[in-house]
Amino acid sequence: MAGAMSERNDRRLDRAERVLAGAALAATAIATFWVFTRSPDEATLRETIRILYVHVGAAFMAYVAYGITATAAILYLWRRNRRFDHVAVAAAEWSVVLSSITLITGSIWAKVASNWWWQWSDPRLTLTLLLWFVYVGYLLLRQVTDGDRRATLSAVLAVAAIPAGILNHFATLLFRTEHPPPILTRPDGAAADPGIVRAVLLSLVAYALIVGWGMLARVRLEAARDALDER
Amino acid sequence: MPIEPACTARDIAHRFGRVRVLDGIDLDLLSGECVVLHGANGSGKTTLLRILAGLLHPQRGTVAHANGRPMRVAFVGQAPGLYAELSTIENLVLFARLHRLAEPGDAAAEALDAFGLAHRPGMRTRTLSRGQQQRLALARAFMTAPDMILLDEPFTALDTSGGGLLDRAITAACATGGTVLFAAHDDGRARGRADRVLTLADGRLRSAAGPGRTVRSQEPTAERNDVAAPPRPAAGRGGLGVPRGAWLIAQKDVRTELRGRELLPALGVFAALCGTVLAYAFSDVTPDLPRVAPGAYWVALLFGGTLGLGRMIAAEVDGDALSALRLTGLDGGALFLGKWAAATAFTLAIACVLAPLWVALFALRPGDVLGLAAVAAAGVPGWAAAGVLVAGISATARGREVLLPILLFPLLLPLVLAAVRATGGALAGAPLTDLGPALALMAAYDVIFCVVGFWLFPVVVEST
Repeated sequence: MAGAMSERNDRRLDRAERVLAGAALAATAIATFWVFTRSPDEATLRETIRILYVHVGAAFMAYVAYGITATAAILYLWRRNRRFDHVAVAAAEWSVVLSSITLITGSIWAKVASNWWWQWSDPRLTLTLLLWFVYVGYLLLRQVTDGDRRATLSAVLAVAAIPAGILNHFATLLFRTEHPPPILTRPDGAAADPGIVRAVLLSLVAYALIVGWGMLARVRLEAARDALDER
Repeated sequence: MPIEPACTARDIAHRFGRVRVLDGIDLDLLSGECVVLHGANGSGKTTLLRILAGLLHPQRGTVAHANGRPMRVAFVGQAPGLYAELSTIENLVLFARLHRLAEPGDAAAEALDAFGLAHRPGMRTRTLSRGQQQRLALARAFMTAPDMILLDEPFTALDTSGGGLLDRAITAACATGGTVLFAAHDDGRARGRADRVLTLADGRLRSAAGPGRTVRSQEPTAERNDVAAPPRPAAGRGGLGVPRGAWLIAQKDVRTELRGRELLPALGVFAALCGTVLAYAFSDVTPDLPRVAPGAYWVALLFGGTLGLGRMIAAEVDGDALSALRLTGLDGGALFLGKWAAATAFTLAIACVLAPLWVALFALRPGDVLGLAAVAAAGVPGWAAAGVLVAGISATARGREVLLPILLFPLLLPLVLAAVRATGGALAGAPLTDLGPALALMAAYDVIFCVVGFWLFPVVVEST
């Protein structure tokens, strides 16, 4: 009975993976098409505005992934269910990938917009860099520990990173003063060109579907690895 | 009259990676019985002992104690679990206090005598031979008259005399209702003293009656009557309160460091060297050395302090002293606070030594010493809190020396930002109101990470 249910579950998840993969490919194709053919140039950045569409989606999903990792870590420490550990590691890997994209595209954009590759006074980039290091450390920790200890210790690290991230955000806001110029709103506070906003939203949807698909596959891989170890 | 089991294990299973070492172990240990556990190398004897001691959570199965009440359990593993820089009597007094024995000094002296170490009360443990350390570890285990004593190959390092003393202690413990389970190689001496012989093979347990006694009886036998049972010392169940436990741990660490002088001098020199190298490097690109002094000060403190922190935590893990601490019932939060207090004290000492050096290296004013030290006093507690927690996380990982700074430094970034800002302001003579936001952030960091560490360190300790 349990075996039949497990097979039904596997088929359901296979189907979900295929659907997400298809949706992610379609959304990426649509977003790419829109960005390069329909989205307008920006007054200051002109055609280089297109870096924004890669950067904003990656940054937003990186923070979503950080939040998933931290939440899954708390749930693991509370319930000691390995599924939460699988979700945590899947989200942590994606957060590192997305943060890397955020940092690289953010530097390129900053160079074009403000003529600097890196500025410690930017609270968002600084926080992203801090969290990138924390989660690279998280993945390194998982490489050098085993079994339940790996799940527990990495969960503790992920939880300890929460106040560090919050405090770093406040520290940078308090002590550093420069911010890059606004793009999604104009200096007078009005919304940017609807074409730009639409392109940003399309890229966000594409990123969300790609990350959703990737996380589902990764969680299933981790669960399969655990099941193999238990045999 | 049927005898209630003192400890019951059901369906215990555990694996390491893909290697299943225990596979469905059922075991009842009775009060007053002596059981020997045989098995080949790698058969899971140590794993089973640690699970029964509560030091390792089995992946499947349960361990229950008589009537559900907490038992006093003692465990002596293959590492003695002693503090090298403390003397024999100091090691025992520390653990007697942690076990809340009424007369810790007397109990420690009696335990030393019972294991033939009474003539060496003041000798530092690191100067003892392996066999003498084993005797000391056994003395600590039997000192509190625990309900259950688990010994992992205890006779291995002992000579004939030591083996005889251990025999007497086991017999006396069983005579007063204690349960003894020890792992041993299959030899006649081990079998000869056992009520029951267990053999662990292929993850399963086989039981056979030992030549000692085949029928359990409430009346003591002739063999056990000729050994005087020691009076059970008045020991509390459960651990010490958090403040007292933390104080004992901090005191132990400070005493160890003052005796051994292993960390402070080396770390002080290392931090000074960091400052020298930074001052030399910066002097090539800027004449304004006072401007970079705050950042250099905190980099040197963090680098030096982190090296020391790793050693402080490793000292508990490497010799397995941590297992002995856990069995005292010491709260994990108390252990965290004790380590935190010691780490804070050591690093503040280094900070005070560095401050006048910075005046010379970075062309500061003599009065700046106070500013440097004052801001260090505000920031070091937060560093110590995050550091102790992360050092605990990395202590049992491979490559822990490199892993510790990789995990710790990103968490310290907000503290470093605020500390450098506050230090720079102090050196520039800024009024206190200007330093308010930085000091407030440092204080918030200190409090938050002390709370986070106090809450999470017990989880880390349990998984060690």
